[in-house]
Amino acid sequence: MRDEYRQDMDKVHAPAALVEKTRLLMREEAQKIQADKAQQAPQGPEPQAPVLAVANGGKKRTLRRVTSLAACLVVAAGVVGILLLNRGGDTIQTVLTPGQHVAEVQLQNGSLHFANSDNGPSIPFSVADSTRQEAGREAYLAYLGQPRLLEYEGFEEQSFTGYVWYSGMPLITGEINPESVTNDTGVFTYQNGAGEIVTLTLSAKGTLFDAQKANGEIDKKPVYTEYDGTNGVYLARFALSGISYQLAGESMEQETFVRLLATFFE
Amino acid sequence: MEQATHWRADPERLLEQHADMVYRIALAHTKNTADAEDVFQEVFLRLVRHSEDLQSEEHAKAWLIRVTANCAKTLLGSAWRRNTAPMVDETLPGGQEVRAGDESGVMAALQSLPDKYRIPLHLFYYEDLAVRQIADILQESETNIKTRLSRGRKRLQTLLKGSGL
Repeated sequence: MRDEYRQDMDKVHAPAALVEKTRLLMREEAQKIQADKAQQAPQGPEPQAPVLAVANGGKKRTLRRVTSLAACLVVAAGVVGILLLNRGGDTIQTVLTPGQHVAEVQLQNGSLHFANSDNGPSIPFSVADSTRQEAGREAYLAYLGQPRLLEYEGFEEQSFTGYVWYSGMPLITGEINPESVTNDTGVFTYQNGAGEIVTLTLSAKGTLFDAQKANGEIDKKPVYTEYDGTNGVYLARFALSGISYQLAGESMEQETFVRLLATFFE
Repeated sequence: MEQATHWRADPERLLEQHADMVYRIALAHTKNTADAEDVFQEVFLRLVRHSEDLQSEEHAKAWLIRVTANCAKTLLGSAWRRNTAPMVDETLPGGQEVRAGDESGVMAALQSLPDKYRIPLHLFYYEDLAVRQIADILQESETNIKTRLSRGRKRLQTLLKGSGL
């Protein structure tokens, strides 16, 4: 059986066109990484207002519940999306070493400080280029001004799926599933073209994450942070204005995650 | 040890070397060429970004297998995927994708198995990975993998007997 399977699989090859296309994409990616490293000034594309539309759907009562939560999610989603879009040319410098992922984080004078686990000196991060952040924020505010925030599809029973589009590309995909709606909890997952995945969980229940003991703080607000080295996922839990947040970052640099995390406290 | 210290990942060489392996694993997960191609590209783009973390050929291969599995899982579990249907049916009846020859029927039978049996069997049968390595890649216990391999083989035999092969 094993030999037969091997013989069958031996006939399956990655299409040459796919390999060649991937090779070109890899070269582009490598050049982008090199450019990011070489340049101090951000060079990413300017954020653009998304093209949004709302389709007709039923069950408006549920929709109202969902959209109120979705609006909250979209605010955070837009910030995350813009930051992901603008990540080229990050100015954040880091000298963090492995094992320092769980550490006290403090925002001081516009910079994040990670305290060493052995109570050594804190390491400053310049959070982001303020001009660029402001540009992103303004773009997002313009986006909020649009009468329609979400395109939604797949409205089935209590399941709601929202998509936010940037220039026609599905930059952000979000979903609130029936269970999440019942529990006043929403889960949004974002993936950008660079393969970075951010999962944001919000809950109207401010005590959702209280079971997790905070191990640091940002702007004097308690934050629980951890790094799952096995899966390469950064995680932060915190509560702001009665909303509990869980932010998870996969396949991204620590600096990017830190910057995303910091935006929630600005 | 010395070799490991000076080994440096060359993403394009790794693409040449492991393209088929990554594609086959992606296909084993997704059972769909379009999705497998998405996973394939995603894996090698990630490789470019993480190549400096890789320490040896073995490490690179294990990393590629692991990331392929993770990317496929992410794709299959995405909200977009769960809430949309392809405009054209890209899979063959029964859900199996057989672009190349499938004379023995073992591949089609294996692809009809649930993920939890199909993936360990593919890694064991085709990639020649040991149970310990499969357990490590799939983040499962060795006992669990042994059980899945055993049950998967039995299911496969039942399927093949049923089809008269």
